[in-house]
Amino acid sequence: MATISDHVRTNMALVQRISFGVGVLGLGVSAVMIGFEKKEFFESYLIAFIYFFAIGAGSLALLMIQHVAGGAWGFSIRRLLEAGSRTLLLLAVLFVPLLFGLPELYQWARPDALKDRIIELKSGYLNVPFFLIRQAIFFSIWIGLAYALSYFSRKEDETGDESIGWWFKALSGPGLVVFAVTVGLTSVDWAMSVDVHWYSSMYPVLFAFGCILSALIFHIVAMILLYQGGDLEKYLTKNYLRDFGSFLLGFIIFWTYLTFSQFLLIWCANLKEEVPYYINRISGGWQIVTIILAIGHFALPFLFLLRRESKRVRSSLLIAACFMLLMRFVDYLYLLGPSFSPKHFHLPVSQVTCLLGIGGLWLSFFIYQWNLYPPIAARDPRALKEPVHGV
Amino acid sequence: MDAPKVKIYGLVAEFETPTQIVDAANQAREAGYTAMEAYSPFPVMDLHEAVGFKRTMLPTLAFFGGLTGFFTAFTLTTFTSGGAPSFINPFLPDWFYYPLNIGGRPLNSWPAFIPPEFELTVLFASITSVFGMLLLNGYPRLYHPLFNVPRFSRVTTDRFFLCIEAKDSKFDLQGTKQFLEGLQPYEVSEVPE
Amino acid sequence: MATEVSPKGPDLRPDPQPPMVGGNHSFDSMTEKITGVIFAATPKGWIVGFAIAFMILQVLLVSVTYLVYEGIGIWGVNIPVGWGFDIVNFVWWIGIGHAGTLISAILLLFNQTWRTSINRFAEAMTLFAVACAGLYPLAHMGRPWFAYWLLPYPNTMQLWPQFRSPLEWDVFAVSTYFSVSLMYWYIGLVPDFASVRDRAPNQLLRMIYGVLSLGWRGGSMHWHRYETAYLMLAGLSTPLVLSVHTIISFDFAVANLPGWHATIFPPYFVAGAVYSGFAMVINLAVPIRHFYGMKDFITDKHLDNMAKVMLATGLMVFYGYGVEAFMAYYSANEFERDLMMKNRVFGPYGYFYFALIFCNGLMPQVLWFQRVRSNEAALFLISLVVNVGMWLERFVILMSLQRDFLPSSWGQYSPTFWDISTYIGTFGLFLSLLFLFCRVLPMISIAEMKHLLPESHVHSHKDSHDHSDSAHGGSH
Repeated sequence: MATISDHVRTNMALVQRISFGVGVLGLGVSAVMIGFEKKEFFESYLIAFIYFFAIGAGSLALLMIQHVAGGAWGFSIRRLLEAGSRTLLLLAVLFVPLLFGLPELYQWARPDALKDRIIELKSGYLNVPFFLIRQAIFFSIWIGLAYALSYFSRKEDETGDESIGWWFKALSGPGLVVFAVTVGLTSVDWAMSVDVHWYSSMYPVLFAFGCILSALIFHIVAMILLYQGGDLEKYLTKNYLRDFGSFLLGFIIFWTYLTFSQFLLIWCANLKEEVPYYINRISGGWQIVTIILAIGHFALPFLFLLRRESKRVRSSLLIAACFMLLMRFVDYLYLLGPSFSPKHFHLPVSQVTCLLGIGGLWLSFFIYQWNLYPPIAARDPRALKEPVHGV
Repeated sequence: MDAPKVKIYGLVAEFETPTQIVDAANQAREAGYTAMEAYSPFPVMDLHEAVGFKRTMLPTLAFFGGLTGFFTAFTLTTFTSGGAPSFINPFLPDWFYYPLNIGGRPLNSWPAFIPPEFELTVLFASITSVFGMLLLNGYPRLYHPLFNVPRFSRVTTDRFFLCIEAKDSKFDLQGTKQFLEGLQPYEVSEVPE
Repeated sequence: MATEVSPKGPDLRPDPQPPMVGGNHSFDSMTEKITGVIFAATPKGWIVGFAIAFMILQVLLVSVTYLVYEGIGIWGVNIPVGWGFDIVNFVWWIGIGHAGTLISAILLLFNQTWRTSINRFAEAMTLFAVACAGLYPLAHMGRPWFAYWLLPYPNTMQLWPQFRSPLEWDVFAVSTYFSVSLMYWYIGLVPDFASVRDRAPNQLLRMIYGVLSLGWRGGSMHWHRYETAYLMLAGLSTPLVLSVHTIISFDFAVANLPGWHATIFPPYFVAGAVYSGFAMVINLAVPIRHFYGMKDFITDKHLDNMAKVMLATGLMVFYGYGVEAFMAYYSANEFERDLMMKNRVFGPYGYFYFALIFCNGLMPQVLWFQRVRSNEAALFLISLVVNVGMWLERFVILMSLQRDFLPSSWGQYSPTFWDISTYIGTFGLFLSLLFLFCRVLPMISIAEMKHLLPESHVHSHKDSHDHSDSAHGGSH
């Protein structure tokens, strides 16, 4: 039975306590800021919330993908993914404050919304009651899926019953379909409808894939940090790491592909109802963010991970993943920032406090969840096939 | 033993399993032989290291091949479309300067040039890796002294061969033969040039 | 000894102990089984099949000849539908080709060893499908002898192609795709050509396959470079295959036309391509494993896996339809909404849309069930329906052209006899090439199959390395 090393356990407890403190403090300071800049607060809160939601939802998706697809990589981080997916419970709670800021965030939620002809045409979908119903249903589905998968995971640990594998597959296959639909619609609800006249059919795909990318990056970091020392170390061999490094490289390429395709099609078309979205992103200071994204979210990690050794060496993969965690934030800032404040670049103080607040609470909750289960699903059928990867 | 009537390319020992060939190659390398090569019906893991070869430089070659492809396409699309920085345009020959106004898009339509740039990057990198592999391996080479050994034809089916070449400074027909026989091969044969 | 110039035929002494694997195959029996097909007398079934395929090919020759003689007017294309069967079939064939690359490249990168027995003919399928596809743009030019004008080269007219056009990107994409697929396929074949050479029953065959094998002799460093190159090609083909269908989707999506200008087109076209490609692989694999007795190599597990990939990509495509419909509503753009409801769903070809939803969306849902996936006949049938569905998808998208912004310029497209005969004819080309391939080339990668046998593994004393390292060894 694999266990966490004492060294990691001590540090983890410390990190948990600190991050909880930072979270409470961050949210407290943010709450004070509502008094000064209400709109700004909700905007910052939404961006920070989506950043961590992406990791939670992406964990759920990756968990289901690895149940369906199999493979040693999925087995080695299965418990991390389960813990990540269970953070959706906390995220549902953290979502609630946003409900008080709907008019600040969304033009369609304001009383005079229907004066706008286009909003009126969309009002069958974009209206507050239906929005609330959708969010309630979606969160219940995600949390339900996450906890159901964890429930069977616990059962598998206890009984070792092989028929439980059927449940994983039966939940995960349809679960992925449901995930794609719900997260796709969520992307429209939370983010796309900020630019209420704008639409792009790539957007749901890009958003859902962004979640998976965020989760992969986070779990690479978590795996490298948490598996150190002790017998978990065998999942940090060069071959395991190379698989994750290759995934990371592939996912970054795919993200770039989706992002660029959407940009190219809108750039080529140059239609007045579409192109303002990108004009906002290449002017008024936001072009710096776009350039940082192009270099930092694609060019640098691409060239770095192309090297064989970067994917296999623990420290270099860790650096790459940490850097990518930062870039994921830049991506979400790029997604919403220019829509909230077009014409001029703006990064409010509340952005930092919200990020620390939500992030602190989320991280401590994640560590709490991870501690609930043994770190490796020892009775996963794949566990018997070990060692798939040697030194 | 009589002196060979024909020039000898080397001595070849036949083995039956991949494990044997890797062991044999390791022992031969440790015994100080350098001019040798092991042959197998399919890639045997790390056999090239056992024989004493280094990791190939092919990936680096392909990387530069890809880079060349990218810049070829970049130059082609940007320069012919008149999208190059204005100080360059006067130096371009007439036949390489063909600015077009397509629906009012800028002369330097860089987003639209990315697809050709990508394709040529892939094309050049692929060509470099395939032809680089063939050239470094010395193919095509339709005749090789090893083909003179009748049983060597089984190298493409199920047998593994270790050939120590005559050009090796340590090579001596008698001693090397004894050495190879010590590795418990299926058979040792001389390879006529 | 010195007089022996060429390699001798297979062996001299009987094997003391042929190593057996899984109760079934040894290195030797595997090589024998796969190369045996080439040396055996031509089977009657093959002659009949090839004859039929070759006759269908004549339909293509007649159609293309008449097209060149008479002009594009013999097709049903006209304003407002300037693209008809030609682009539908072009996209359809290219899409089919994509599964070949996916199987050989992406599954290799994912270390999915089950790909090994099907990658060779999947790659062959890619090449032949791309050949069929490439025919359409050439034919549609009307003057195919000027096809080289598409290429960027310095010329006396001092003209350059229009690099902002997706049609010009197509030239780059399709030609790169064909070249890379060909190289990938060929270097995969090289060691197998050597196997055939060394087993050839006569001098002529030995020379032919010897030349094709480039003199391959399987040196350790050769294999190392070979594997490295092969893996790099796989790594390059993966984004390439994505880019090819993406660029094809740009052919539509760059046009500012309702129903065409949708940003989801790139990934959705790629998923669709893989979907129909896997359907075609199943359609080919089922008969091949029957007639050539290859069930040891193309097992039920393979069909099951392919069916799963089909289900997954089918769901992505279905998701794409959903997003398209939702965005037509959400856009609040009257042209988008009208296109969706009044043209696509309830328009003149509305029944095609429903057929499409059935073929691509609903019917394949039966693949969720293991019972269906393990039934060869059902799989074969479902794959046929999916291929029809994917054809319908492109047709439905194309029919957006019938009704643009101005009702005065609306029109209806209908294919002519020559449209249909050209389409049927390309099946002749595809099948003829495929029959020839099965006859003269090793259908299954011999060298790679050997890697699947347990005795291909090295049990060194140190035992410090593992097998999967070698599979990835060359990747950078």
